[in-house]
Amino acid sequence: MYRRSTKQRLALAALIAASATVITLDFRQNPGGPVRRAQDWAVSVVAPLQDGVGRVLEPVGNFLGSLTEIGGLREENAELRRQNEDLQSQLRRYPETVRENERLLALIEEKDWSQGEKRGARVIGVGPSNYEWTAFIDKGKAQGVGEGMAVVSAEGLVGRVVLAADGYSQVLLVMDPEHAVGSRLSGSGQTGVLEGRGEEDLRFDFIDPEVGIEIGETVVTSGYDKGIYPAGIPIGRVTSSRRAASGLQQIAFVRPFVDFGKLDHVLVLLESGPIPDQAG
Amino acid sequence: MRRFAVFSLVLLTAVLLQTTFFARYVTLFGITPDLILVVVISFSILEGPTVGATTGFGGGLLRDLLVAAPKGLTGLAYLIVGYAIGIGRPYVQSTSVLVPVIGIFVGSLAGSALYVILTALLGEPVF
Repeated sequence: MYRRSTKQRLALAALIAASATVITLDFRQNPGGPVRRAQDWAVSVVAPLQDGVGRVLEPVGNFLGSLTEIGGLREENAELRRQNEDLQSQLRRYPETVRENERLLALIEEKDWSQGEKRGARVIGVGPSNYEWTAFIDKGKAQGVGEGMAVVSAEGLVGRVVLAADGYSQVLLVMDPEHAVGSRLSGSGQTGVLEGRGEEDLRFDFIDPEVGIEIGETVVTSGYDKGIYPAGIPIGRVTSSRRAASGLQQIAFVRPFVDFGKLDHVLVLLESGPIPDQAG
Repeated sequence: MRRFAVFSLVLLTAVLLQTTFFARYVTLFGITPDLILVVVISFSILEGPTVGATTGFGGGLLRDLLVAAPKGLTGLAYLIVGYAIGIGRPYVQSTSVLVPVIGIFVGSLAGSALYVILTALLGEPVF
């Protein structure tokens, strides 16, 4: 009994020491340090397995999700029909708008983000934490995906690649509190910073107190963050706004267009990513 | 050695289920149950503090490597929970099913609290 208890304590002490070592290494390491290599290794091992398990479990998850949705289907159908008619009428004007946009972009020598090279990817898993919002996709360095590249879906901005392993990458989602993106209100053209707040609506800071903010107004990327995100990617819609306590700025809250609970196929913009610092 | 392989396999399965299924589809009031911690606590109840602490460290570390947060904190938090539950288990005489249920509830609460405290001690923003 006595010996066993000593052994237990030794094991505990050894494990705590190991944890402390990992924490210290991680805090002090340079890019490419040992913890970073372990991270690459873990993603390379776990991601392919996730891919397989995810394929098997996805129908189960979708079924569970659909159970709660059946009630709303009829209403949704009617709503979609109405939207369809609206969109049809807008579509008739679309070709002309595209031509005009191209002409204007050429005029100001701005690049249209949707024209660049893209790589399609499937979401194979999400981060395991309640405090963090990330997703794993099934494309990595081998397919040309690099860290810092923007990720979009058909609805709008999804996030950016934070870790690119060989055939898999990890994407930091727009809704993560660590995520901030230079943004623009489409109505007034006001720019500011849009920050994630987890499950709650995104927060748009630094808006001029004199500017009128409309509920429902679209928010797009401004391209003002060292080029991580190209300008003009739709992000979401304003749901509410208020004056900051200081009175020196307004804050708006923005609901993303992308439904992160149903994220499935995404596109990595291969020509995006941070512009390297110019030395000197 | 065989036991070690079994523990590793169960932990890896928990990590896979957590990232592909639980964190994606299963949420109760906006909270996702942490399957990895549940497995650690179960090992600790069944096998005692040494196994509890070891699996806690291993599972926590693997989880850390898959998130963008500082590495090693979850490992430390889970190993302490695994050890504490394993130490406390012999003092509870009952064989009721409520014992593991309460153990997992208390352990999950303690694990999340420890993680938040450790993160705050290191000066990282928690939310």
